[in-house]
Amino acid sequence: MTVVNRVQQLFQKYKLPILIILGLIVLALPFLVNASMVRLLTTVFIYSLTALGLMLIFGFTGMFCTGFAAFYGTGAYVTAILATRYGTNFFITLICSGIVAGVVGFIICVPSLRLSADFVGLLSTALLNIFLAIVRAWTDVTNGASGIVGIPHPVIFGHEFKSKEEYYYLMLVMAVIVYLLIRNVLNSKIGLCMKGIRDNEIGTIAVGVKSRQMKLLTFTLGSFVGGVAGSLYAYYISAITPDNFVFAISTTFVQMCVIGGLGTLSGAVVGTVFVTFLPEVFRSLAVYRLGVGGLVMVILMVIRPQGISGSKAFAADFSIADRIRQWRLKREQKKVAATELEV
Amino acid sequence: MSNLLTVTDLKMHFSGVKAVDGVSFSVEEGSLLGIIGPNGSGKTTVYNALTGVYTPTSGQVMFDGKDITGKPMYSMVRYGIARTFQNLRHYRGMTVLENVMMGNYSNDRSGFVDALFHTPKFKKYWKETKERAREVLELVHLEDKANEYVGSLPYGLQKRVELCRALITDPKLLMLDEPTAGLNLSEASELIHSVMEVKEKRHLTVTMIEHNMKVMMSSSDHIIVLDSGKKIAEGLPAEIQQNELVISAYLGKGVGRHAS
Repeated sequence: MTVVNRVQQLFQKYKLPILIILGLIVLALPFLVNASMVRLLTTVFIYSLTALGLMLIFGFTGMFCTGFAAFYGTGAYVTAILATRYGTNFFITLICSGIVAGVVGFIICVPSLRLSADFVGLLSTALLNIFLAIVRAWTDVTNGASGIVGIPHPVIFGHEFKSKEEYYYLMLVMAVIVYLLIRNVLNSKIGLCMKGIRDNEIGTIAVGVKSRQMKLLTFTLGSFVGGVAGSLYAYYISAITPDNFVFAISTTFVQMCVIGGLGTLSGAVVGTVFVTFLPEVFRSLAVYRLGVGGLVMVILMVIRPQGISGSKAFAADFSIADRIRQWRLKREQKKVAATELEV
Repeated sequence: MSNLLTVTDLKMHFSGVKAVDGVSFSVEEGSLLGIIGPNGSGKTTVYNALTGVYTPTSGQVMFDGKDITGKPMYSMVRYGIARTFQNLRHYRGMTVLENVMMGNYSNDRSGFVDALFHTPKFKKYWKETKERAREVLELVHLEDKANEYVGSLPYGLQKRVELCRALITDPKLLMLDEPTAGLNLSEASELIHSVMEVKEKRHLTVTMIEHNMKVMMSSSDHIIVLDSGKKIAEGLPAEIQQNELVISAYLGKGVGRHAS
């Protein structure tokens, strides 16, 4: 635990040089590592976008959303349909996917305004099931369970993105742009409102915030980002089926946010890297790797419940390790008191 | 001096429970109105009905010449009413400065697109928000705690943070709900001292619910007493101390009546 804190301190101290070095490493990586690693990193960039979107909804505004794959899937399907049937321009497809996912998010958010956080989670899970049912049944448009294949490569200003290195840089740039824009939003009164609603909704309304509008805005924004991520994903793997957007994927996104650290933007990225690489690290364990990976997550949550880059203030009530420490302290004190009495 | 707030025959019923039953009072501009009463007498409900947490069953609330009866809670800041809460309503995952900056929400006129691209308009308002937050923190002597998380502060300072958040909205009327509850004697007197200081500096009108009689008697200009949702007395602090109805509401009815 202290190791992580020290790393955070060092990072704060030498922020700029570390960022520059990290940036250069990230830029040079496609030439340093093997092909499968480049592919893995590319999916990390795409998944960090979904984690960023979910972080807005779940980590900052505190609305528990377990059906985020629905927005991700909506974006992917819109892209697949537009790109294969109408051959639309990359940017237009990207924006359209985001907007459609955003509209779905908006519609879903309206009834969930009246619910508390846990039930928003249930509602969004229901949404995901509805989404999957529609996608599987509406064969004329979505091609049913066999999915849509042959999504063309994206073409930007006449340049066709084909190789895995080109995709790597495309996703990297997209992830950085979205990250910076979301960071801008969070460092504003809107970002303050989001956190305010999470921490204390009544107090936030009392200073003049229309909390419902704010929740709608966040949900729409988060699902927009999810849609954009889905669109990039569809371009990247070039063939999508409903099985790409099942509940398990949704929970992976939640894992990324929680492990990275709810309420921190960097947490979305850190969590994505962690969750994506964990099974790879234990690859040699073959069938046991998922179980071992899960165990690592459980241990991590026990010793650092606020997530890897989460702040201490957020964890005060949850840390099991802290509680054990307090319990032992109390026991010690009782022992001391008892011996004093005997004396 | 004219009346800033006039409440006429305010009723707040919850399906049969008459939490507030026909309370009328007015607050003079620049004065401090104290509201006292035993537990469950409807003091906080009066606040909630005034500030839009609840919609009053009937009655009229006039503030600064405008009818604000039943207006939603988020619009109160626009009219110039700021309140604090009995149970702290701060944001524990945010720093003190951020907590206070939150209060400047309505004065910040930049929109979503400004925030997205950090336009000059956004920067102007954001800088202003920070400056105002620091100003207010200085007013209650919290400036050196600006970057600490609110949850890590002692309770007395947490209450001050909430006071700051109310003050930064630049209110005409400040409504405090048990500002000294849970504080020790020195913390309580410091807080009240801050409130009085701010009241003089900013020419505020203040209403205050409080159980600490010493504080009430020394700082209020005028006091109303509630019991079981009704106003049972009103007057200067010295008059209230002598009022028999008030004494019996607090200490119980005369022994003779119980015996009979």
